[in-house]
Amino acid sequence: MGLLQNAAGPLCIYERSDMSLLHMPAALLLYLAALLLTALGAVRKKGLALSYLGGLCWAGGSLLAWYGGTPPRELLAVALLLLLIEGLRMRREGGP
Amino acid sequence: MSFDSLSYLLFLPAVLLLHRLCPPRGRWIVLLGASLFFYASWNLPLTLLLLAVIAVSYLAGRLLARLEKPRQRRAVLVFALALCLGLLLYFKYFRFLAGALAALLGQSWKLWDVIVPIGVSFYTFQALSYVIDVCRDPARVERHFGYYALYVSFFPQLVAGPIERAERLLPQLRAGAQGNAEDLRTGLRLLLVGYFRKLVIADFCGPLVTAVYAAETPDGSAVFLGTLLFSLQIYNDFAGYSEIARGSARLFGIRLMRNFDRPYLALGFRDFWRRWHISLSQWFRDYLYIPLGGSRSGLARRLGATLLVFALSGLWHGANWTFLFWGLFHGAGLCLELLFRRKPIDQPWQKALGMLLTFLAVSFAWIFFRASSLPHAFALIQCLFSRWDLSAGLALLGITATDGLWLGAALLSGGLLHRLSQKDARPRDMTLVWLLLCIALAWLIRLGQGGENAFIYFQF
Repeated sequence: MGLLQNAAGPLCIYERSDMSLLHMPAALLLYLAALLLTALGAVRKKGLALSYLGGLCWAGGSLLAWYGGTPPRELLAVALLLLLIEGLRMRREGGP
Repeated sequence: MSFDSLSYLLFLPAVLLLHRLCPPRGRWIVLLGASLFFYASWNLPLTLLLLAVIAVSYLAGRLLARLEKPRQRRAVLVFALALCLGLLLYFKYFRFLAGALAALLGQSWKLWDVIVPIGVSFYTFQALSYVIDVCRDPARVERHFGYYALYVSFFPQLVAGPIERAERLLPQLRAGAQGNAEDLRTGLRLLLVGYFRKLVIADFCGPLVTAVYAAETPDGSAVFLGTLLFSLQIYNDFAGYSEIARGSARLFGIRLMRNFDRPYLALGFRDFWRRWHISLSQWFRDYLYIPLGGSRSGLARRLGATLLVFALSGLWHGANWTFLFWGLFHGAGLCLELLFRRKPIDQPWQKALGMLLTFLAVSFAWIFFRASSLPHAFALIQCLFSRWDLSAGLALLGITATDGLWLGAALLSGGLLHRLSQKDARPRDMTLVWLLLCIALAWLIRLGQGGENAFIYFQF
């Protein structure tokens, strides 16, 4: 992890948020569960229920993270990952 | 009223409700009223300019359909073209041309300010395409003024295209159809894809690009990364706008043309222009390149026509030397392809290499598009080919690990967004839920930053 200097002062290129997700084990755990459930839901034939469950885990993790002061940019980054994983289902089911 | 404003999100369902309540014969009145209101919300007096272009092109069309002598028809066509293009020249290029003339004569003139009407290049070109089409085939004339006015001013595509042809859009407007359940589903899906492109990807790249292009002497790596990010920004900004336009129109049962088809997967400049801003490329092809001789003329004439078309296409984007250079760069690329590319590319590695080189060349050209002036563009290019210090470049951009994750996801989402914007896409519920959640979060982030990011192509 390298510290860089710019006009605004010391800047860590890896994280500069107030309260990163990495410091919130409960939210992180819920997010990991969301990723796992969504991935399972996307690869299984009738996995929509698992995906919904993954969505609920994301919602729970986001509430915790939001309450803990995590910037919305990090919540969005996780939501983007989940969107991509969910998109695998469309590819598997033979989109255009 | 921008597509990404709250007022548009209230305006669109209100118009849709009125449209549904109205009997088929009167639906054009709802859409025309809504379109004029939409335009007037930007600038009320400049709505008169839009109405003037509509009136001139409509009357020219009626006259062209009535006159039989070729000389008279040509005179009407020239008069209509001169009037419409004259308005465009005055409002958009007056200061640029007068400034260039003053510089040429070594004079210093005090020029008055001219407000550039929003979308003027788009609706003028749409009206001109109608007049030229009627001149070529008088049977294409539209006698109903209301339908014609709606064709030019239809609000989803009024401000930044796609530049539709009369033969495609007018029959749909005349039919007065209302969207069925399938249209509503597809329309909402396109809206989601468009808002995702704009709010989640383009608006995220915007500040990073600005940081590089506003710096005095940025590092070479920062110029490289900033320009790649601008490639991502401008594509998602404009393609996002186009998808929102298509989605909005589809809610009313009207199908607008596709304006983008994965342009960064193009193999060469010719292929790029088949995929980028398709409606404008087709306009220039049909109304300028082909009349100048097209592909059937000799090589020298083809090269000349290509350069002229791209110079004008560059200037169409704005009254600045940077746009002219950008157009000429693409024109020169196409000329080189005409001269040296003989064999089709078959091998997968050749295709991959060709795509990469095309993307890098197109991205390089964006430097001219994004820079504030030609000296600024050349200074950036000089920086690009001088010192490279990746850590300094990243510091200038201020990229964090979250941003890296975000960027990676944004890049990977390209394929998913393309699939979702296809006509027969069958997304499952959760994909759309995630799209909606991402858009909502991006909206919250934008509110937190306290500002709107206008669509880039609105200025053209």
